[in-house]
Amino acid sequence: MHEYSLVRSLLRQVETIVSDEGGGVVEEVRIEVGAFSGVDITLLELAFADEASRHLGYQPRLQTTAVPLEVECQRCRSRSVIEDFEFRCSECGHQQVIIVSGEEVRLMEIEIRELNNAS
Amino acid sequence: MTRTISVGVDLKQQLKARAAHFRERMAAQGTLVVNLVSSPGAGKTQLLERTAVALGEHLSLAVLVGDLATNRDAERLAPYVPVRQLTTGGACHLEIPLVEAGFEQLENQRPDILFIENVGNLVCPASHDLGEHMRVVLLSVTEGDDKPGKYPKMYRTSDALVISKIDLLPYVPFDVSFAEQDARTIQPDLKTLSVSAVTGAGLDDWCQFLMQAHEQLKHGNATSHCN
Ligand SMILES: Nc1nc2c(ncn2[C@@H]2O[C@H](COP(=O)(O)OP(=O)(O)O)[C@@H](O)[C@H]2O)c(=O)[nH]1
Ligand SMILES: [Mg+2]
Ligand SMILES: [Zn+2]
Repeated sequence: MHEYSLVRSLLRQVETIVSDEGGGVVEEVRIEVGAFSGVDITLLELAFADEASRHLGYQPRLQTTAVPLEVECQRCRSRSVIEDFEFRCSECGHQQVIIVSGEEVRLMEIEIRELNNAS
Repeated sequence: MTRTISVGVDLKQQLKARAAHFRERMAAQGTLVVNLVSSPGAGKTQLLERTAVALGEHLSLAVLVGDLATNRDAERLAPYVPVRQLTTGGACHLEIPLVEAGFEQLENQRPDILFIENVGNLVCPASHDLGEHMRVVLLSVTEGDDKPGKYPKMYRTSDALVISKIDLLPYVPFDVSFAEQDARTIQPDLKTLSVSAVTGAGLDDWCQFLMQAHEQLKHGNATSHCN
């Protein structure tokens, strides 16, 4: 459900950006998906496969890169990757940590083929 | 010829900005926004009915209640508090545009506390900022004390845990301190409370907690873990 609405929003943003850049055929969309974003990569890929051709009329590739959940310790400032959702500094064991990455889904790059130069 | 456009934007940037704006607007007018989340049937509506009666003498309240379908919860709450039903048409969570639209339809546009009862679901609502100042997660004792660890995002983004239906504790194996500890490995700052909306146990503490949060908001030091 939520992956589908995210994909529709992604496609709208891709369309706007590509048209602002003078148009073209989208060959590949590259996104980063945080481990704590609440978004499942497999479901997102399925949603993209379903929605992209309906939206654009053709099917670009989707490249997803997983971004780990990383926190910064409020005591010793070191950074740890959290894998089991136990929020704790791996250096000193302190529990007061803030999330520095892994919460977002980001549109990173769009690869396009420009129409007037198409061969 | 192919070329690469670099973008680097958060896909939810616009919704997040709208939620942040709503939160600021509500804080500026002295309205504390509380987002209530839980699995279906944990007792959100029943707690709101009791809260409206108990707290209604001290503070002005309003409720936006979200469900996939029906006006049943709004009908339950209407005798006690100004309320609007938000129906998502099948979506499993509320989003800020629905909240903004529902708010405009409330009779009381300047309540001291605006409650948002989210759709019963512990997954998707965790990822959607509704412009709240405080997210409160309800866990009823019949769901089991091992649930916090299974929904890390919801517990991480919550400010308070309310263990509900404690009148049923004699009948179910539920260890309150185990559930609280489990939740605190995910969110060490989580405030914990327990209530029964049937006997009224814990209701005073809950109302005190809300009144304090409202006071703090008025004095400009609200904190929130939601994003
Ligand atoms: N025993 C008991 N039942 C409760 C309590 N709170 C709610 N219930 C019951 O639990 C069911 C679901 O409650 P409801 O408020 O609709 O849950 P919601 O889906 O989270 O809004 C209803 O049948 C309520 O009567 C409580 O504190 N104790
Ligand atoms: Mg309800
Ligand atoms: Zn540390």
